Amino acid sequence: MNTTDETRPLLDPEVLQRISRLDLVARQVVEGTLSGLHRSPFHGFSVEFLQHRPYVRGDDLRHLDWKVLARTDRHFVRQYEDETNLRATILLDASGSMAYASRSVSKLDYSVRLAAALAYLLIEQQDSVGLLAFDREPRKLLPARSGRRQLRLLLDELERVSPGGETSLAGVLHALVPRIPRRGLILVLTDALDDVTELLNALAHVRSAHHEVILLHVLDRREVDFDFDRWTSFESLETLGRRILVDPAQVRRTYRERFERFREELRQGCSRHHVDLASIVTDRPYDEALASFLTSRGGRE
Amino acid sequence: MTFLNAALLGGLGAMAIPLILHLIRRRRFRVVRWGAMQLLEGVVSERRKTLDFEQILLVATRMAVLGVLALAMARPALTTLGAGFLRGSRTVAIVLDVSYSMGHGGRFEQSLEAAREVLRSLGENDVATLVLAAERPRVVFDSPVGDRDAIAAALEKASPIHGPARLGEAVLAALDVLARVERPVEEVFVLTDSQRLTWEGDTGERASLDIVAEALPLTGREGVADGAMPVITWIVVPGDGTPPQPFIERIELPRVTRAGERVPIRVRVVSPGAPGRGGTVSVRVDGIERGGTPLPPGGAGEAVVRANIDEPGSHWIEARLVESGARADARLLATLTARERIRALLVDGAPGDEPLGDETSFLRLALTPYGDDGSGGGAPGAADFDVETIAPAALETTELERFDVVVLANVTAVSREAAAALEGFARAGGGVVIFPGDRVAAASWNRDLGGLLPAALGERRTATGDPLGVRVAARREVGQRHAALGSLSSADLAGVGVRSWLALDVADRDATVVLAMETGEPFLVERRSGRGRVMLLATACDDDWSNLPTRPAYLPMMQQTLLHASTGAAAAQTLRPGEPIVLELPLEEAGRAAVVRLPDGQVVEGVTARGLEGALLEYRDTWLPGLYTVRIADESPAYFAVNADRAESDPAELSPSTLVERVEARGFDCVVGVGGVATALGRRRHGLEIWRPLVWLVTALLLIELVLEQWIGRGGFARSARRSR
Repeated sequence: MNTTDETRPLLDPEVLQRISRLDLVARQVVEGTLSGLHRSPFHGFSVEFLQHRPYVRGDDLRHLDWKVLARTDRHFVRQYEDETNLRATILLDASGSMAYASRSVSKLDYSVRLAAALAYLLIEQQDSVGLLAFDREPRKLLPARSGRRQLRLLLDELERVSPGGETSLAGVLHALVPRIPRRGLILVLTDALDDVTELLNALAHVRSAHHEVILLHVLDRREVDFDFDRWTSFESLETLGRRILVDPAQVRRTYRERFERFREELRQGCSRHHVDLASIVTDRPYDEALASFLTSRGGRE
Repeated sequence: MTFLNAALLGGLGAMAIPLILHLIRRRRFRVVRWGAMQLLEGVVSERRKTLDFEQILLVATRMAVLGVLALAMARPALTTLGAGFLRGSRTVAIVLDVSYSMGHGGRFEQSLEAAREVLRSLGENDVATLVLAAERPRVVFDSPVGDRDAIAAALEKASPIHGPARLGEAVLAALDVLARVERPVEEVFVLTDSQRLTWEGDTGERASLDIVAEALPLTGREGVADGAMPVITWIVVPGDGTPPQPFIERIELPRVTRAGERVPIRVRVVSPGAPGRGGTVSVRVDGIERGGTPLPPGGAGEAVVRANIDEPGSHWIEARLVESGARADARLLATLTARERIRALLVDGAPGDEPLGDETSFLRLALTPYGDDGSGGGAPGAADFDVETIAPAALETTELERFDVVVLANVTAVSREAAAALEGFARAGGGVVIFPGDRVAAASWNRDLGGLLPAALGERRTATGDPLGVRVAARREVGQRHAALGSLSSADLAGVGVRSWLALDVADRDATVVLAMETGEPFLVERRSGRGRVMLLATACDDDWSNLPTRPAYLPMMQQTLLHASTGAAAAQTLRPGEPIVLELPLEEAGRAAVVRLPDGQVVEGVTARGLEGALLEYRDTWLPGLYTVRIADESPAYFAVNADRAESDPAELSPSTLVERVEARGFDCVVGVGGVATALGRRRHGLEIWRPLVWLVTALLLIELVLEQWIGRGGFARSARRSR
């Protein structure tokens, strides 16, 4: 869609999993993604003109200053007040359930790379980006800043993220609201395997603080399809000793129905609270996942 | 229940496979570290109560599939007979149809093969008997025997004989034999063909199936289930499609003739198949070839051979189809008795002095055309009748036994004594011929001779219009010639005109109208009275009432009428198998021994004539078709022809499906062809095989398993409960 067939294999999660440097991954993903996009869907909240800056790929052509182009034959875009002040905070779910991987890429690995790509994209747009990894409790909060150094710090922090215990996304969101006083964008990468009602309440809390929220619902293909073919003991990734022995064929349909109910509940809740929700399955190439998300987001504007 | 492949019951062990697989799969599970535990726990929690039960249900269904499949492969059979068979104590009766139709188209060979197969099925402790079904059933072994070789040898000796099979009686005979031994399992195998005659019966015969079914206390299957009746299996062998051949249906000739007469022998040939290319009928009299005559185109129809019967006495006639070789139904026998002289008593009710003036003068002339003394110039047939004429008054004093036939011509009335004498004369086999006339008192006749008259005498009627009178025509049944007319035909009677006649009322009398007038009124009527015959003409025997005496037909008609009337005492000499040979002899012959020569050359001596009123010689064992010769001392032999029923040559068949339907409707088993014998044996030996329904059950169980698996996958009981809520 946004990438050529030649570049597609390079953006496959299985391939990128082998690249250890997150900055390379992020750049690869973002460049692959943006090569097909006309403009970035992220922008600030002001409409007061501030200054010109050189055009970079992905900028909205609507902001290209045609008069300058006519006079100088150089590409400049018009920047508005506070546009540089987009403050995005990436919330990365690092709970045990995110460690599930039916193939080589776990949901956490996938989320880390997606977060890196998003951070790269936003920093490239001169925005401020912060990061908070969490499981039951928030881990280290990296406040939102812009610039290359911030990107380096973000990527370093992302590389250090490892799966932890049980999820409490709702609690983390509630705790986060007072710690981010200025309104901004909250990007949540999670499998949302938590109490949906509590999660939706927390999202409502975040929204009440005038933050824009994007929930990237990261799922594994097998969590969706439940296509196990023999008796299986499912052991919890979050709680030790919690296990179920079952014939998957016997419960597959019921599981799928329940899973679909869960997703629908989440989808309706997010819609109700004006939270952007994007479901991403980890077998999907990063660029495709990112592009589809960005495209849909761009379409909403 | 028993199993034909009991070894395959080991396959029931396969029922454990689904259970073992289930247990193995449960034990050899895979471990997955899982994230969405709360969702999965929710599912399991929802179905916790039914998951195990659903598993058990599924495993049980799979076990049932394999179990029923193993059962089906072991070929189970349901029967109460099974137990008896396992004890090895069967009594088997083989009823083999040896009728003539079985010899056609390879049917008998097929039946023998089927019988051999039944024999091969006998166990060491089993016993069997053999009944040959012919016109009369022949039980080969009065008591069932265990010697299979003996039964096989008897089978090899059997062959189709020329005659029908009374299958019903044969089966009943077999059941009688079976009833003589106490065995838990009794079986009858009836081997026959699909000839319509066998199954639907001939004229006057009941169908074999009806005879058997009606003789049994219960219908076939009820009786078998009850253990009260043997199992009867009808094995029907179809023919190989060989087209049927023409055969001789009958020979027509007078039973009695006069010596020296040239007798027309009419041979009727039937060709049930496609029209043939013609053929020749050859006739032999007393074994001497008397010439042949070609058949009409198509190979069927009537061939007439005229032969002189010179010598008085008994004669046998054989007609055969020259082109058909030695086939039994291409040959037919008949017998004929030639008399040298016939003694006739004429009672003249209107004597006269003038030439041809009395009532019987024309008749006397017709009976003795060459003179009373027999000096008729040596012409053939001369002086065949010894004629004596008396007045009615002399009737009471005349010994009627001296005569073969008494003629009453225009007799006013007869006294009671004379009437009683006449009735006794007829009862004993004498012939009475009655001619009316103007002197006849009809009321008196009806009163005094009512028991003798073939018809009540009515009023006198006179023809109006045509001065010649009313015409007369021969009245004959289709295809039948009345013996009273001999060779006389309608053409011969063409010029006969009747001016006056008596109305004859044949109602309520066992009489036959031989000739009728064109008005439809009876002209010549015949009736049996005891062993004798009474003939009644509607008009006078002189020329007062008709021109008959002046017509050429008069002489042969009168001679033939008197001859026919006189044959009552002659024994029937053309018989059906089983019909006894009866020969009447003078009383003084009582106690004399006769020799009977049978068709197969065997000679039976010492057959004695028994004397009551007269002497009666009787021989009953006439089941073998052919010529029987009875001879007493040095006297001339008497011939008797025993012909098999020609209906056996009728190839009409019933379709196998119709037969099976009919037999099964009666509750018996029926299989078609030798190939069906194995099936019948299997069914009899072990009962009703039920592997087919079991295979259907397996299919159904597989379907259930499939549906069950889908249903469980979709949520099983939990989903159903949720929906019902």
